[in-house]
Amino acid sequence: MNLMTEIIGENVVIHINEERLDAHNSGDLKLEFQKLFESGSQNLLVDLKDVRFIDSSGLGALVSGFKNATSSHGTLRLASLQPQVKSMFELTRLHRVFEIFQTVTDALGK
Amino acid sequence: MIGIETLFIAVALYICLHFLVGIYAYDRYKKGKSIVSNSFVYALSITVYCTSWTYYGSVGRAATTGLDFIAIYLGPSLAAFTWWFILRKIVRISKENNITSIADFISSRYGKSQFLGAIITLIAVMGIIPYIALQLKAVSSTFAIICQHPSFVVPPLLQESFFIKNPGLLFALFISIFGILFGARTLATQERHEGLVAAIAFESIVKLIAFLSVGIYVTYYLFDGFSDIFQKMSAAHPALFHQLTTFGENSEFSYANWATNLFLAMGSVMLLPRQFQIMVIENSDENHIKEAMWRFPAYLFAINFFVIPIAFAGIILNGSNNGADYFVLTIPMNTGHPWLALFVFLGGFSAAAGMVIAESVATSTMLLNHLFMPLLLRLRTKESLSTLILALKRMSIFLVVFLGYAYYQIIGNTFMLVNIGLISFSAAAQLAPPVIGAMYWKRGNAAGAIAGILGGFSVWFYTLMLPSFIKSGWIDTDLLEKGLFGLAILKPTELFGLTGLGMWSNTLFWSMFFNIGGYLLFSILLEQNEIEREQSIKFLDPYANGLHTDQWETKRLSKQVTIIEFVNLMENFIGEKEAHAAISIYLTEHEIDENGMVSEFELPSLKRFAEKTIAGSVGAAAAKAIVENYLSDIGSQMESFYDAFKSVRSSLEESREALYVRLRSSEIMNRSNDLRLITKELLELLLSEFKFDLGVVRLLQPDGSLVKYSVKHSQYGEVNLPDSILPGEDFFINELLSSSRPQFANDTRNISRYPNRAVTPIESFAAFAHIPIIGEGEPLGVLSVFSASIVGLFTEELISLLSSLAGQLAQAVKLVEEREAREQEKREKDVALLINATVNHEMEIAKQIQLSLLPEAPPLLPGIQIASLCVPAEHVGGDYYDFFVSDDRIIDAVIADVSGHNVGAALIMVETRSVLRAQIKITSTPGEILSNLNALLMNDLTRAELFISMFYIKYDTVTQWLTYSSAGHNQPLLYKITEGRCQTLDAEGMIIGVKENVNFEDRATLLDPGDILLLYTDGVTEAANIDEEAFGIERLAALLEDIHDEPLQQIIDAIYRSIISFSGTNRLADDVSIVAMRVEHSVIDQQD
Repeated sequence: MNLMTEIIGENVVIHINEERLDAHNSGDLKLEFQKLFESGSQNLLVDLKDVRFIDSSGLGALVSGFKNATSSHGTLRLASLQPQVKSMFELTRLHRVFEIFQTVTDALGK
Repeated sequence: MIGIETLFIAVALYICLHFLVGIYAYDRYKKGKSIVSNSFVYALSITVYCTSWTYYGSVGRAATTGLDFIAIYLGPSLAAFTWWFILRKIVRISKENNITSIADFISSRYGKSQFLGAIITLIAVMGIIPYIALQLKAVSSTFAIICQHPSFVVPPLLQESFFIKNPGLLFALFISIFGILFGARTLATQERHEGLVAAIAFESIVKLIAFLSVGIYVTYYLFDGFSDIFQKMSAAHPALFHQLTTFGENSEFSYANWATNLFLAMGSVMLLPRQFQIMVIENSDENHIKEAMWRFPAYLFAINFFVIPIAFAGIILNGSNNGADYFVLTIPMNTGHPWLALFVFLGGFSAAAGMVIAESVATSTMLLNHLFMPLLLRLRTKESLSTLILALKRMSIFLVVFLGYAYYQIIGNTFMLVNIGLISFSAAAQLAPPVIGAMYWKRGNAAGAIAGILGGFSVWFYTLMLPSFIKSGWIDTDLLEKGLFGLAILKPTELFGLTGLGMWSNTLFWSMFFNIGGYLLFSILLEQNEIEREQSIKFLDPYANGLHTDQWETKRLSKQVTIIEFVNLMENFIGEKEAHAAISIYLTEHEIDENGMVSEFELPSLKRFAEKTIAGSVGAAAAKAIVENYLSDIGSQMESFYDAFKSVRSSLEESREALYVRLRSSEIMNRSNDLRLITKELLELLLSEFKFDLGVVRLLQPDGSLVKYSVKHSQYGEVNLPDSILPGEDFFINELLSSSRPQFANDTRNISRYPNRAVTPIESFAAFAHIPIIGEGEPLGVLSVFSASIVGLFTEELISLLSSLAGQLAQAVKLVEEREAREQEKREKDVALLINATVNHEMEIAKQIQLSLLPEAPPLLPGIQIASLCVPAEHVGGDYYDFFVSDDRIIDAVIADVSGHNVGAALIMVETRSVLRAQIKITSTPGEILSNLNALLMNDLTRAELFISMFYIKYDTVTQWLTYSSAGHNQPLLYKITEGRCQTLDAEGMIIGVKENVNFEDRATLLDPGDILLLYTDGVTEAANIDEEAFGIERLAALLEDIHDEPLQQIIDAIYRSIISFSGTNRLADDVSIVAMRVEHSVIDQQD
């Protein structure tokens, strides 16, 4: 999976440079979360700017990352949701669970 | 004015100085602190090349013929560039083979031919004696010039004395004594003569300084530098000046002549006997050659620097070039500097003395070794010859010097003598082809060398010597003018009608034509004999000495000879002390048994050693004859060992046997794939063909151990060998594996120095060989063969044949290994396929079970119609739907999607179904059911990292109220017949498995007959086409609106078909599940 992480302050920003987040690559994202948590990162911010489509597997990866973050008193936040992705979150009501921001800058400014 | 006594005293003192230098150098040499063994002295001694011919003659030539004298020095300077290759090789060969002279070098290379040595010696003597005479003449003439000059006072009493009359004789006497003292002290010619070399080097310094002194005196004292001399010369003698400074005008200084001189000088610097003596025999360290390569040319440059100024100055002062040969001496005398003239005389004396000493020692060695020794051996004297030989050698020096003296006395001042320098050079050039061929052409043989030298020499004699005699007036001039028998074509100086070249070039061309032609022709036509072949290998690659002979012993002596007998033989020729010293060196490297014998197998090497040692004093050809005579006297001779190839007569070509064995072995290799069978049959073949008694093939295992793979014994067949009972097992094989080279012993009695002798009790094998089996550079194993009785079995041919068989075996081993690797790979692939098939089968079963968990058929309930479809994307999926009917009027329907499409999702789906079924009974509203499910499944879903979206409906067929609740599921479509279009159903509720305590909103809506409710999973709306565009809810709604009045099952099928055709070639990525319900009509409550 094509992704890039950068550390900005206390946050680790994960830019997902993929158009689709689905069964094919959600496993990699899960592994990435796991790696970051193991290395002690707590506050993750997932930048979904490039993601145009997400399916239940992609959601699953984000949800499991979210659960892991919460259980270790960290956060997993989302930024820059495309309309289709956003409607998926609304449909599943996951937008009630995740903190979602317009842009990465917004998220970091907060 | 100087009294003649002063001259005598000066010369006497100078001669004494010679002896002192010689004695000092010899003394230092004996003490091991040599003053001679350095590159400086080596280079100086090589300048013995510059004789009185140079010293006086260069100026003479410069004043009479012009610049052509330079060629004589330019040639050697150019040749010096090759010394690091050619001279070093000659030196190495000579040291390795105890070469004593140039004649020995050539005869030794070409089969140790006595005849060849004798011819070369004769040629050398013929060419050299006049040359020595020239030196004597130079000393005599200069002495006379001094005595007759007014600046030297000769008392009348002395004028007729013996000393004044015979300076040449006295000089010859001095040279002979010096030569004997320092050049023939002992018999071992190989021993370097440091006293002699030191004296020559000393003379070289004196002659250089003397010449430079005159040069500086003339150029800067008498005249005002170079330009002054040249200007005055061109003003006084413009014609002569032009002639002397121009090349190529007529035949005397023609280009061809110049080139000829250049070529002759290039050869002579190494091929003249004295040059060979000084450069090769007296060389103490090959590295000195490197320095000499520039020091020698530098010396030549220095000594020629003032030649032209002196020549021109002489002409200017003298008025003509008469007596130019002695300008060097006469200019200082005529200008009132007798002391300088005296110094010049000593310089000329040095130049002559050095040449004669070196030449006489070199020539006497050749005379002794190649003429006297063969005659002496004919007499078959049994008693010790060493004293006689030494006496002969000393006598030879006398002989050579006095032959020169006699020649000078008889021939005197003739054309002959003037040109003898170049005539000698031309004779020496005849040795160039056989010498160069000796080192670089393997095929050259004695017949070729003899033919070439005889041919070249005959031409030389006919075209150069004869005309010289004629010009000296001894023979009628008809021959020269009309040719032999009056045939113009046979005119000596224009042989075969070749005109316009000039005498020297004519000789060079035709002598080289016959020389090289004869050498090549006979060498190509005739085969080399065994000794010639053996010697050619030694000469071609002297740097690899030891490899050629030591291992490959194929001969033995038919009768055993003891060491003492060899020592006695050597004593006869080199003296007792030297013989004992030599043998003790030999014995430090070889072993003897308690009887003072070396093994049968070592004897040939001892024989060779004795021969080589004797060769050091009498030359290779004589030494060979001596040792062979001796052996035949005691009834022993060299005979071949058992020869494995009976038809091979020491030829490197393949014998019939070897070909047969190769053929059979490749048959064996090709016939079978069974390595055990191959090795067994190969060993059988070797045992039967070569009379081996035991053959073993060991193969290297992957763990690095060497395992006996196949064993064959000539009597016992396949035997089970215990470990480490075979000779050479541990030591030799380790050696072999590390070096990848065959290891063998031709006589096990000689391998005591190897540690394994004590370890292995069985020594019944006489010879054995271990041959590495090497495939693609890696050792794969060892092929070993043993012979119980045949010593010397392993010849070079046999070892190379065995190596090639081992190579074939290596291929077979590789092939088998590759085949096994391929089979292993195939087996693994089959297993993988089987496992895959099993898994597929299991998954198919899982799929069937999962599908069977879905309702077999939609429930039948009055007032509604229901249809459903489920197509899993893969074997198992996470989609689920179900129906529950209660009170004959209420239908519950659920559709759910577990995230993921794997077995995990399938298991969660099964669990969800079970939990859901249990919940139906005890809860009332859809929201409550979802809420409970969320609570109950939360932990499991978290652990599985999965979640579920779910839509739950409850429809009362009587009230026609639909209540529903959603857990983040896709919004179902409701086709309202009254509106003629679809609307979506939604209710607040999060997907199951994300958060605990979620509120699921219950919503309700009233349905009318004809309304259609369509539940589906995301497999429907997210089905994508090639452009990754989703099917989407709008398309689904439009389709439903379109076909709402079709039968329900057909609506579902149409939707599915539509999805399929939409995705096109894109395979469906997700499970597709659809549940449709249509309200038929209202139902009257029957219980009411």
